Amino acid sequence: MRAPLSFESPDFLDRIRLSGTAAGANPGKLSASPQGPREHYLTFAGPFVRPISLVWLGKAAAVSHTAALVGVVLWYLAGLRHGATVPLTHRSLALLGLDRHASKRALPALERAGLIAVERHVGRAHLVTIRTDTLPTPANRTVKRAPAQRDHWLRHRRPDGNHPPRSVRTRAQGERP
Amino acid sequence: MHADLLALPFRELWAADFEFAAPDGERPRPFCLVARELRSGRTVKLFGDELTSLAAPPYAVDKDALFIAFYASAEMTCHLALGWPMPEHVLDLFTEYRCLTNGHLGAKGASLLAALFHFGLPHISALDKEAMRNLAMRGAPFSEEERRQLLDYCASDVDALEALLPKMLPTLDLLRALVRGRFMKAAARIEHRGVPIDVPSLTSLRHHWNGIQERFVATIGAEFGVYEGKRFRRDLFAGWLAAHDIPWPLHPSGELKLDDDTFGDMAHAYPMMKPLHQLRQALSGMRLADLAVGADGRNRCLLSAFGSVTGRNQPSNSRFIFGPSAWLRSLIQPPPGHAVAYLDWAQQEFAIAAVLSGDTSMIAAYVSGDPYLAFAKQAGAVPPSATKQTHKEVRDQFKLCALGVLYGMGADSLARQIGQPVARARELLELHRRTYPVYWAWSERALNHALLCGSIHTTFGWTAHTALDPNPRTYRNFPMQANGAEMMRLACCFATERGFGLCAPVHDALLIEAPLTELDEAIAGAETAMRDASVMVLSGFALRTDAKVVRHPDRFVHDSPAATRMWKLAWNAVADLERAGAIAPQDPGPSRPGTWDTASHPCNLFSSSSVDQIASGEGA
Repeated sequence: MRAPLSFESPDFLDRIRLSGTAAGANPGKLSASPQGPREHYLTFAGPFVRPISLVWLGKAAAVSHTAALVGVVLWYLAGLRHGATVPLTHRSLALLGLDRHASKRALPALERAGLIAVERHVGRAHLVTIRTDTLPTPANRTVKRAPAQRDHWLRHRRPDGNHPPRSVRTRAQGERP
Repeated sequence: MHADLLALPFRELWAADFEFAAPDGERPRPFCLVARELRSGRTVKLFGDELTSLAAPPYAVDKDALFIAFYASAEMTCHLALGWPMPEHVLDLFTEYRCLTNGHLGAKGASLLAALFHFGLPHISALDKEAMRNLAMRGAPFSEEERRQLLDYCASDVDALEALLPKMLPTLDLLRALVRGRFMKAAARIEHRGVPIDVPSLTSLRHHWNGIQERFVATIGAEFGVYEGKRFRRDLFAGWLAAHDIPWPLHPSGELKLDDDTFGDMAHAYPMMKPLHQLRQALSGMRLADLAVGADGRNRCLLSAFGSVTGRNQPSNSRFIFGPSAWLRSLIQPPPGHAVAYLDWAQQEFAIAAVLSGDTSMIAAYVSGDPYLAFAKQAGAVPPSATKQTHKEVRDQFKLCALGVLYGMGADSLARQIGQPVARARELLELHRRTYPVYWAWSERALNHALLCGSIHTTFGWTAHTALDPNPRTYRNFPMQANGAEMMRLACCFATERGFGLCAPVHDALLIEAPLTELDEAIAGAETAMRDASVMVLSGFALRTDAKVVRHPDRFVHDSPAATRMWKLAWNAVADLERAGAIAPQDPGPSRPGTWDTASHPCNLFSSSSVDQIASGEGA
């Protein structure tokens, strides 16, 4: 275990170095200040944007295209902060050509869809938490397909319920290769 | 008592302010001090002899005490002038206010009044402050009324510190603030020492400055045929460009761009234009009279620590010896029995980009010793057996590309720099992208971070807040410049604390001074300090350093042949003017004799073999 940080520590400088500007450095909590959680440095180390849940984005797109764009900004900010809760500023929205009216419409809609939780503030940015707990888990996740395609697949389904390999599906039922 | 003040991990918190007189180039002469312990309210007020007779400060300076000031290097130079020890821990509210508002300052600046205004605190008027500052700068003797006014004014600054500290504490990053305060102590030591100047030469140049300018025009201007008297003629210059088939950047209006940056870029691409660039610099507003040299023959001026957005020093161009044209640096001359050494980090910005981005190809290029040739090899533009001699032209192009990329340079600017078509510049930039994809991804992240989060910071917390109308190149370049500044600050701290004679920090270099008998030890010590600083900023990666040593009676010489030529032209002009009956300078300066012996004559730049080039240190 490391000794408590003191100004007199021989490794004082080494321990207050921020890792945020270096690639490959450990992101997250950077160092401790005697005054408590005063750290406001964000890292831009490592993968910048973590993978966006396609299911989440698909649900956001179902709400509206603007909501999907707001969603992209939210995931981008979350990737920067290595956390799910981010302050959503007008500056961030402007990067994708969105204005405050867009966020005013999109945030309640995303909230109603169970995709985010919003902590509203007056005079400063709202804190938005991306919710993934409302998404279906892999075990019970079902991806709906377009009806025509589903019908086509059903026609080629084997008696055991599995789909035949794609190369087989192109042949007529019962026909020899 | 504010709760945050109680939480500070120090036994005593001393807010202090000095009033002092500091004529140009001289060390400050403090005459007034007000200091207050913020927890107990105990206040010390000293004036005149009460202050100067003290052998030690009237407050604690040990590791359990925190010294709080606004622009602490001024207070620290007063400590040095009084022969007092410096405080162990310094919190400079100026640097912290700069850090808090860096990028958003605008016209308000970072003065104490601006900080008080920012936090909605009461303050005296700017006019009153200016009047009191002028009174202080005038110096003694003071009437009883003036003495009372100065003490009250000094106390009002301490009141301001006491009010400001609790307001700033919630956003203060104390650990890194102390590192910045530590540099203000180093800055004070540097300002206290100053840069040794050959005063007789300076006096002579000042005396004959008009004649020298005329000689420059008559010699260099005549070569180009673009001057009429001292006036630069655009039409003649356009004709000269056409005659030499040189494409020149234009304003949207179609006029030639004639700013210093454009001239610098073009002189880089077309070295034949360097003398014209130097001439324009020499004629445009260079005022030798402004160079701040004290009675002891030392150039001293405010380093303006943390003056730029990147946190680099920003000393006055006209007052600092490294500010005016490069050829005037030959005024730097070590005193008898001494030498100066100019130590710089080899390819500092390239190395910072390589290490912080984690691009292994880029790191390998740096470690090879010649990153620019290595880049050309990695890109497949030259065979693996290529050397600096066999492929000089290609190497130069790749060098300008590698450096330009760090500044976010586009194809048009790069084409100007390398003197090649834009298509070639595009090709080079594409090769850079392909060779160093990890660096480019990191650079993109840095830019996105600045734009999305509104700020970007260094490894030791110096922060730039994104401007309302951001320039992407600024933020792409910030990690290299600002971490380079952190490295320089740490090196200054290490070198001065270890007792080496640091005269000046110059961008990515340090100028040190030492007696000839201790020279080797001083160079080794300063190089170790620079190495330690790079290890600290780059998480264990050590940068190489190069050293150039100048022993008395030789003088500092800039690498550029154009600078050497200007210096010699100036002294030929001085000799002719004196022969022609112009009056020789009467006051050669108090610290040097008025005449030169053969070896020390300003024209003898290379009179001895004592200018050494030393390369040392190991990459990684």
